[in-house]
Amino acid sequence: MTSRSDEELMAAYARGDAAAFREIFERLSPILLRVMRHQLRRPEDASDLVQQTFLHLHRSRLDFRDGAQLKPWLFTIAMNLKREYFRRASRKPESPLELDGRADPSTGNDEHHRLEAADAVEFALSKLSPEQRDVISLHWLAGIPLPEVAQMVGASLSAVKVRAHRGYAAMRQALGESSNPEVP
Amino acid sequence: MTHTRVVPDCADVAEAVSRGEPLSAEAQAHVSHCRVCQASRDAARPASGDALFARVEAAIGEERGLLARLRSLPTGLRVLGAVAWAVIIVLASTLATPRSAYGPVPAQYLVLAVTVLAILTALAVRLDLRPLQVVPSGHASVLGMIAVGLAVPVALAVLPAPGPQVTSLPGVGDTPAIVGCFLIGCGAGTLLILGLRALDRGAHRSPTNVLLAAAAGGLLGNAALELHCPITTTVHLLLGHATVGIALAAAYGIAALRLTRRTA
Repeated sequence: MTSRSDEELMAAYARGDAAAFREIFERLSPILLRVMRHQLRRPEDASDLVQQTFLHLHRSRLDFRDGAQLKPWLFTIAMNLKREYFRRASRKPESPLELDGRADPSTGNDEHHRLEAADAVEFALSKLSPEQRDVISLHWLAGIPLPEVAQMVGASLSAVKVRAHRGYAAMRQALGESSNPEVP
Repeated sequence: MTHTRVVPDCADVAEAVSRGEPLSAEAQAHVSHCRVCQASRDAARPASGDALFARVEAAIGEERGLLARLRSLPTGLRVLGAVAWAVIIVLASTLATPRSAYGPVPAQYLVLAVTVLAILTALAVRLDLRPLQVVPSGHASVLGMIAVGLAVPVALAVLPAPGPQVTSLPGVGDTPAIVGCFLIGCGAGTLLILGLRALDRGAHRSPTNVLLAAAAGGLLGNAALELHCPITTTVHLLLGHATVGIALAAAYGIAALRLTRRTA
């Protein structure tokens, strides 16, 4: 049995297939949550924004057109909600301070290493400008190609490439050239 | 009878995790040296995704009724619906409070003024109902639309209208005429704002969208007033017509701010 594409699932959901929504959520919410947690101070705010994003996906389901790609569509909603979150809270984009597992005494060794790596990435992301962080989050964490990232952030492809290039360079510098092979 | 403190074991920890309860200090101490519990805790992590999905499902479950149906319409239909609602408001206003005299001002001027106001209203409505899956318009274009929406009625008031001036209505004093026009304009604008609010998917939490809706309401109120009021004096037009958009912006701004604070 072949699995349906994101777009087929969304089309099915727009036609009333509730199970398709669950599948969309299971596929895309972990990535979305990961991106949001790298951008917001509090994990519960990240969860709230993911919840809001999927609520808006539901409200906008009849706007989804053939030929559109679901992932950039959904992430554009998320990024708009995130902008609104920062505007409403009169806060500048910041990286989380409550880092996964840092204060968790029950963390095992392997997990501890994974979380240490996550903390390092968060530290590196915190060194970026908000514009660079948006591009890096969408490109690296969410796996969205740069041309689509450009559409989502409302900038030209060349401008986004420059932000990505400088952002990755800043991250490598923050982490040290050899200490984090995860960074592309 | 003596009470002994029960040291939690794996079953207690698993039970607490399955119920979503926070672990006690003793339970955390147990987990810190128990491989079984650590594995169990890791396995339970996807439950947080389930919990989030349950929240999303609950939020979607609340999307019922007429308003939920309206905001879930495709954006093209939402914009069309808002424009149709605006036309109905102007027609109803014109039928309820018809213009007492069409003579003094040339018909072309009247048609031009109403057309400009109608086009600007439609543009403001379209911008206000822009969906979230679209990259937002530049802040400058939204602020520009708000400024134009508030400034055009002022320009119509200040620029001299062609033809002989109409200074008053028969049997109506200057102040009652100003108040009457202001109330008719605000009434028409408020009805449009309510329509936009009903079709809104959440954008009206943003102050710029609130001001945009108010500007649209002000423009529509002025279109209705063009078809109601033949007076062409600058003082009347400034106080009775041009203030409609500004008053709606202030009133809706305050109301939206209070609503946002209450629901935050």
